Amino acid sequence: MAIITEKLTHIYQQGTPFEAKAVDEVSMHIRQGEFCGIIGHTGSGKTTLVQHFNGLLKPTSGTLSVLGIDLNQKYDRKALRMSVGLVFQYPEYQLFEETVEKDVGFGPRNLGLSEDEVKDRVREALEHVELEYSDVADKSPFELSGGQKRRAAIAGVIAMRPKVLILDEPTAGLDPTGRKNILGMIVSLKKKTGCTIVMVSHNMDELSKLADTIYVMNEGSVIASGAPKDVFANENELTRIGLDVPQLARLGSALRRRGFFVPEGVFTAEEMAKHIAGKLKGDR
Amino acid sequence: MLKDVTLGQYYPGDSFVHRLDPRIKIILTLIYIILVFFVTSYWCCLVLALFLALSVIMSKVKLRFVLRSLRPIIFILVLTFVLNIFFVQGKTVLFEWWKIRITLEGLEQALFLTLRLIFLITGTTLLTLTTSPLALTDGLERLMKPLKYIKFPVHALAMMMTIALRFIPTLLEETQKIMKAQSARGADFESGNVFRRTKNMVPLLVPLFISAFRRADELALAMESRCYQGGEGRTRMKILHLHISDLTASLAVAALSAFIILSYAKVIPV
Repeated sequence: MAIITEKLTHIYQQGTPFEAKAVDEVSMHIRQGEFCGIIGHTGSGKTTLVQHFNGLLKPTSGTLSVLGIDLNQKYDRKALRMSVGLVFQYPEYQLFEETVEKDVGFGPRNLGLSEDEVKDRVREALEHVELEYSDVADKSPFELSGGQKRRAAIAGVIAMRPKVLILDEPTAGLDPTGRKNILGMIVSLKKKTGCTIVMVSHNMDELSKLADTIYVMNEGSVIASGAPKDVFANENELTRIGLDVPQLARLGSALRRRGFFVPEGVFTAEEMAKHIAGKLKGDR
Repeated sequence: MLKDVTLGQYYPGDSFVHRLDPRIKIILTLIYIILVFFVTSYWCCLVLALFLALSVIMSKVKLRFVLRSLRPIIFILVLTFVLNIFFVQGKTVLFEWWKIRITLEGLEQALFLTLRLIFLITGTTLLTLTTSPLALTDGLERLMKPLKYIKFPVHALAMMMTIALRFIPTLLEETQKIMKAQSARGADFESGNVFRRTKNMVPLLVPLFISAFRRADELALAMESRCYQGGEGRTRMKILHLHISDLTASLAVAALSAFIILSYAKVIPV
C-alpha cells in the first residue's frame, strides 16, 4: 500500500471562531502503482487531504501511513518529502530562479545530491515533461509560455524522483491543448517510472479516462469510491452534490435508457464510437 | 509562524460593542486613551478596570483573545515595572540593602505605569477585535473628512487602507501556499543561522512579489473597468447611522471621563 488513511480528520484553527472542519473521517487505501483520482468541487477538502500525504499538514485525528512510514509517529520528514512529490495548484506561481535549469534543480539540490546527479535529474525531468533541455535550460522561467511554465514547475517536482506523485488540479486554467499535453505527460510518466499517482480534479472527463480508482469528496468526507464505472453509475447522487458525470457516461446511460445497449464504463470517445458503430452495423 | 500575526484580528460577533458605530468607537477609544494617562489614584484604576471589564463582557469576546494582545509586550511591561521600582526614589523607604533602595513612591509609580500600559493595549485591542477592518477604515475616512479642505487626500488614503487590509489575508494565504509548495521541494525555512535563513527566503519572496504585483495590476484594471475615478461624487452602499446604543456608550464614557478628570483635579476626594 502506498497510502493508507483511517478516519483522518483535519480541523483548521481549532478553538477559535474561525474553526472549520476541512477533512472529516476520511479512510483511503491507495495501492502502489495505482492511478487514484480524487474528485470534489471547490472547498470539498481535497487539497487539504492531499497535503497530509507528504507531511505538510498534521492530522487533527485519525491515522495516516505513507509508503510504510507512520506519520503519527516521529519520522524523517526529508525522506518522506523525497519520496512523495506534491504538485500544487497553479505550480507555475512558485517558479523563482534565474534559469529553468536552476529552478528544476532546486528540489534535488535541497536533497543534498551532487551537482552531476542534479544535472542528470534536471535533464531527465525536463524530458518527462516534454521540454527540450537545450531550448529552455538557460532561459528564465518567466520567459516561457503559460503551458511551458506549468510543465517546468511540474518538472521541479519530478526531478526529486518521487515514488508517489500527487497533482492538485494540474490542468486548471490551461487551454484544451495544454490540458491534453499535461495529461499525456502524466500517463507516460506513470508508464515509464511506475510511480503511484494521486490526481485531484473536478473534471470528471479527465479522471474517468485515466484513474483506476476514484474517490468522490463532499464537505470533507468521502461519499463514494471505486472504479470509475461504478462511481459514475450513480448519476443522481453526483448531481445532487453539484458534480457532473462524465459526458460519455451520460451519453451511455441516455442511450441505454432508450433501449440502445452500450456497455457501462466507456469513457473515451473513440471507444464509444466503436461500440455505437458496431451496434449499428450489427442491427443492420 | 504566520499564526502570530495579529493584524486584522477581528473577532466576528454580534454584541452591543460590535454593533456600535465605528466612528463613535474610534472617538471613544481616543478619549479612553487620553483618560488612561490621567489615572493617578487606586480608585481611578479600579473604576477604569471595571469599565474595561464591562466592555469586554458586553463585547462577548473571549477574555483569552483580549489578553493575548499583551503577550508581545510582556517584556516591556516587566522592564517598566522593574526600572521604576529601582530608579524612582521617594521618601518612604520600604527596603534598603547595599545600593538598592525601594521606596513606596517608586513602587506606586511602577504599578501605575504598568497598569496604564495594560489598560492602553487591552482597550485599543478591544476596538480592533470588535470592529471589522472595513468598518474601521470607513469610520476613519468619515472622521478625517474635514481634512479635505486642506487638500488632504482622505478618500485615496482610505481606499489604500481598505485595499491593503483586504489583501493582508490574501497575501498571508499566498505566502503559506508558496511556503508549503517550496517545502514540498525540500526548502527549509526554519533552521540555520540568520544569513542562511535570509538566503532561504528567496524561493518564498520572489514568487510572492511577482504575485503581489500581478494582483495589483489586475485590481487596478478591474477598478478602472468599473469606472473608478476616485472619491469625487461617490455614494455609499452602507450609510452609517447613529443609534441609541451609540448614545448610551458615549454617555458611559462621558461619565467615566468626568470621574477621572475630576479626581485628577482633586475635586473628588479619592
